[in-house]
Amino acid sequence: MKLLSVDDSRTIRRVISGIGSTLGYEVLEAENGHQGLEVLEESSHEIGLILLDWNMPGMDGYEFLTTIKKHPTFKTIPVMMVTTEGEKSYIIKAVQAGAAHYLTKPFSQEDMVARILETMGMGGQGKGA
Amino acid sequence: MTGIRDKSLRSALITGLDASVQDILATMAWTSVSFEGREVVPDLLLSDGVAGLVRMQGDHEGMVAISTDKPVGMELVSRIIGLPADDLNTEDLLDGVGELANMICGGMKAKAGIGGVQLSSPVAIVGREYSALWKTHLKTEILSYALDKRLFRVHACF
Amino acid sequence: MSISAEEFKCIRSFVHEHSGILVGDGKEYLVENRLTVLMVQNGCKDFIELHEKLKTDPGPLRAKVIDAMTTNETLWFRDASFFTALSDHIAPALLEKAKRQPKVRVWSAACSTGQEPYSVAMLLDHGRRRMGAGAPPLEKFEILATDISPSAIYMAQAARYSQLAISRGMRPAFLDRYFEKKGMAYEVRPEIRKLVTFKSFNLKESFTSHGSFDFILCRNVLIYFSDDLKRQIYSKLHGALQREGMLAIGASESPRGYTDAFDQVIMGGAAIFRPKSGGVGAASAIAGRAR
Repeated sequence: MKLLSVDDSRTIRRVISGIGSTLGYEVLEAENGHQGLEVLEESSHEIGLILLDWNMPGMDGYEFLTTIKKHPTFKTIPVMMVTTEGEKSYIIKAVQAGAAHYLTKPFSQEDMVARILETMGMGGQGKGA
Repeated sequence: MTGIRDKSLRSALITGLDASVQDILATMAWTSVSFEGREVVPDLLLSDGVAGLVRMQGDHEGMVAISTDKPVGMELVSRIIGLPADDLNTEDLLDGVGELANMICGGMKAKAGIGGVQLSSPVAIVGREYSALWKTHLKTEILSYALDKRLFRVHACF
Repeated sequence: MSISAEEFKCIRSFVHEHSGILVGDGKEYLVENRLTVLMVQNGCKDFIELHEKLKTDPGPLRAKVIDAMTTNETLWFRDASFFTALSDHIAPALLEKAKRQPKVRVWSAACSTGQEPYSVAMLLDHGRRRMGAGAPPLEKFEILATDISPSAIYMAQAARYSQLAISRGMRPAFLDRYFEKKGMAYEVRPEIRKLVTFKSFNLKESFTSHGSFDFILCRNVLIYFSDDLKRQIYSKLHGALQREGMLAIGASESPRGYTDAFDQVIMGGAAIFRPKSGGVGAASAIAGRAR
């Protein structure tokens, strides 16, 4: 399985790629919601988790999230918001729109790994538990 | 445009900003900085080699900027991405500094617990010699930090 | 602030009661940030409702809350003076011990994502190579590594670190010798990995099933515990140490004020603690050795 990072900052996309590869996942990248949809059109069957920024030029994260949650096949892919927007109202809005996780920047590597593993079905009750 | 006159809100924002700087540099760039001082100046004037600016709009208005010299900027971005500073190009530096400003400003908002403020996309500047001025009647509070004896400044104009 | 004082108090006392960790004053945003998703997903309208739900939850939600509130990150060879102590004093002492004892046991009690126990294993191997002929085999060493967070343990067991995680303090010579590059990541080599056994473990629980140790690392974790728990844990650590054992804690930490059962020894600029023979936990230390 692969991860998809949708973020206008290449810095953040690179950080996420590094973390993904640590866990053995290739990370596909998109700079905004429109590009994200293009990637999904081609590769949705191999994407296990989308890591999504909120504020992006063009189609922002919230619009992207609501669009894919209406899509017959894309809607099953879990989404983790990764954003500087940490207000409770934003978190509630995203979760109600179907986001599975919400991680606020700055994030520690371990926080991100924990959430990725939980979504990809390996974490939470990890081998050591 | 009116700035933030409420003293307790201003102080919550400045405290949040300081905590946010420390938190972001520790979590994302794995470095610690020492607080060097605080001053109030009449203008938001940047001339440090690299800078990142984020505009606050909504219930409260203003601008938050970071500035430092190019070697410190390169070092911070290199630590965030985990690549040697020599491998970074200007685009990497621009993006990294902008993202740092974005995270610092977002962190300030979260830590101060204020709602109703939208943040703009960051503006990043990298240059050998420049001066950037934001014309406003709002005063700017500068928080200075030392990182390996070099300065990292945060400018809060609200 | 959108989280009320009452909500914060509820969650804080829950986290403290179940993990021993104190969520500090002014950390309301942390609770809000980390737990709002779980609150909404579990159909709760505020943290009071989430707290009510937690009280009757048999475990899964509780584990998620604790995991969300306790994740942390460590780096390689954090704290230079401590690692000088480790490479120049502690590792050589453990290597000497391994010549006389069938097994030498080390416990990394808050291992997070594994950097600390792997660092110890690498330094032991490095010391062994420097010793040359007569050095004890690596198989003589057993390292137990525990952490409260199951996801941290999962990542530690995977033993794969990104370029980013590696760049935080790893020495180039160690990187070459002890890691294999796998795609964009670095994986700890099998001979080092097999020295370390990982388990998720809460320091509030009894230590007796772990046996006794020649060296325990419990660094930068007790700072999150209340004074009363610190006292209990220092006593349990004392009980889990061999007579000649050593305890390493964080540079800013001290057992002073919680126990007088340890003697402080300065090694390479770092303070290391040895159990006093007549200390509080002496009886349990003896019981530990008898196992």
